[in-house]
Amino acid sequence: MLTVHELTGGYSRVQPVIHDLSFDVKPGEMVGLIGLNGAGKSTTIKHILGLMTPVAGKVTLHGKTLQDDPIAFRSQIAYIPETPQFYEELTLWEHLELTIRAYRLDEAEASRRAHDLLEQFRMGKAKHWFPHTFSKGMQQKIMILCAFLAQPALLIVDEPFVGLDPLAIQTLLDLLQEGKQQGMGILISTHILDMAEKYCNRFILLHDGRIRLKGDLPAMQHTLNKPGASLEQLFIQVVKG
Amino acid sequence: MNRLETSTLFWSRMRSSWTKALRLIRIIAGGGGTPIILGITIIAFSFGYNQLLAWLPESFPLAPVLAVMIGLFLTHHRIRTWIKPTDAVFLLPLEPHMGRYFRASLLYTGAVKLLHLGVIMSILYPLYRANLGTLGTYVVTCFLLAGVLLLNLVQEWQATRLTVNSDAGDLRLWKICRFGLNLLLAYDALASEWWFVLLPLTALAIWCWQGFRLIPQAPYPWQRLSRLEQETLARYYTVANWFVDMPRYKRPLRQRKWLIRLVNRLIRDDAVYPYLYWRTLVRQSDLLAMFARLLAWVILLSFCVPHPWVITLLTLLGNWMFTVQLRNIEHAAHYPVLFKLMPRPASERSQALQQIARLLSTAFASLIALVGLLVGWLDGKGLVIYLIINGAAILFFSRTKR
Repeated sequence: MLTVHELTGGYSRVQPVIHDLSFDVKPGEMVGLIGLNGAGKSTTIKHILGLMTPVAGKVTLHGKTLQDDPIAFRSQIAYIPETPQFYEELTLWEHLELTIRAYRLDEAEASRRAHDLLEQFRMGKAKHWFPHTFSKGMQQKIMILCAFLAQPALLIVDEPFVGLDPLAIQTLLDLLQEGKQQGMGILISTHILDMAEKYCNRFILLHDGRIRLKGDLPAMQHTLNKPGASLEQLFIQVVKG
Repeated sequence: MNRLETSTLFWSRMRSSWTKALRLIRIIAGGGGTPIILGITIIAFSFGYNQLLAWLPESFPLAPVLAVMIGLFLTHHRIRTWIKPTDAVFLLPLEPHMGRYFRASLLYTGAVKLLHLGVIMSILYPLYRANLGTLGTYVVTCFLLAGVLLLNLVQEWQATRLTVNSDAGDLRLWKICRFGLNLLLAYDALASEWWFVLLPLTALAIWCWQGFRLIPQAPYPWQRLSRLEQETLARYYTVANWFVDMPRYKRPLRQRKWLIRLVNRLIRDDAVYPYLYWRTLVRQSDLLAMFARLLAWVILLSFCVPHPWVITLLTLLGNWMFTVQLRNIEHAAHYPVLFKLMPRPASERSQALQQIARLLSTAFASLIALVGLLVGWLDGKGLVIYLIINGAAILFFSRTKR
């Protein structure tokens, strides 16, 4: 579904942040993007979303790039950013309404789903409030609600657990599992390695903008000749060289 | 940082803020349109003021009318503290030494408010001399009002300090009472009822003295001071934004439910950008206020020169100014990254903007035409000219792209 091919890019053409990244995300699988701060995880995500132009390489979704068909490309992706980003002038419910309109969702069905999601994340009482009055966790929930309301083919999640309460984390994990079962492809960037190990099918370990290790856990253990090692142990070995 | 340095911090913040403000003023004054619009407004104001002076009958109750205006001015104060949200973290350990900081703040605000009073009283001088009193009584009134203003300022500060341990309803009631006393004082001073001035003045002074006993030693209402400062800054930025683009200025948000209900009727069920832009327009941008100001400006100038061609041209100018500013709501920088990721064609953005521009420009021109017809500034022929020229202009302005 998502194919990243020899992607090189960054904020400057002279000094790229990421180098020759190649990986894919298949329908119904969750891929963990793991790396230290500044490893290039968010830059990779921005390139996939088309917010940055690569120096080299390309990103395709179902074989098409963003330039081939921008609307079809964007319609298939939803994004949960690391820092909650919302429209200050829209209430929580209006964010959901805007998502329904933007993704051309069936209104009755999407409204029902929106109410379900509000209930699951216990946000019903705040639905007519402006997000700037919310706590950071509540603001993050807006991003999650909008992304799951859109029911995209590919979900890109950047550090989603920051600020969320334990119940919301569990609800999010349940939704991610459910999405996977329904054929959603998920690319998730996180520092919570225990959780990643438990929920992700495959991993991409980024360090200094390059892929140092990738595959499922047994494959990575085999590559590093560390049978039985946890994701955290493998990651530490990779970054410490 | 010792006690002396907290006041130094205030003056340094004040200087830095004024440096930025002066830079903005220089940019605004250097703009081609601003001096022209200001010039036209000043000329129209002086023309209208002279007409008012000539028309004002001796029986007109000028003292009560001015007393209400001055009473409001004396009661309401925004104390400039330059307190920032981060101060609640970093200046908290200095709280016992912040007295000097806030004394400097009161000194500064007092000086600025006295300057404002001076400007207001200078503008009112011809009116005062024509209907109320002599030069001597005018001077005494000015000094008296200056003293009352300073007493009020101190009381405003006391009320702000008391917010940490008093009921908001009580403080509001106190403010209403203070307005009552100021109203009495202003009326007695303007009507030269000097003996009657003494009672409310004494009441204010005693109230002020008592207020010092009620103020708690600590804490300062940091959050409230920071919010008030943000609101004050937002007001200045709003004014500056009339003249220059202020992209980083964080505008206050208003719910405006009834207006949202109204605009919902104008938006198609599947429209994305009109849904967003109307909400930006109604809740957050200054454009709605600008719409009202331009409308008032055109009507005021039309009142001064009630000729169909002048009204037509003024409406044209007002509509053009509004449409140019309206384009600001399309700026992607104002919106979060999700705006760029919307699976909608970019052409929908400009179409949404054109639709909004056309509707508001038509409302603008129609309202002025209605006033013109009701007051008799526009006759049949004038109305036809007005409609043709403004209709064509609306189509042109709303189709123009950057």
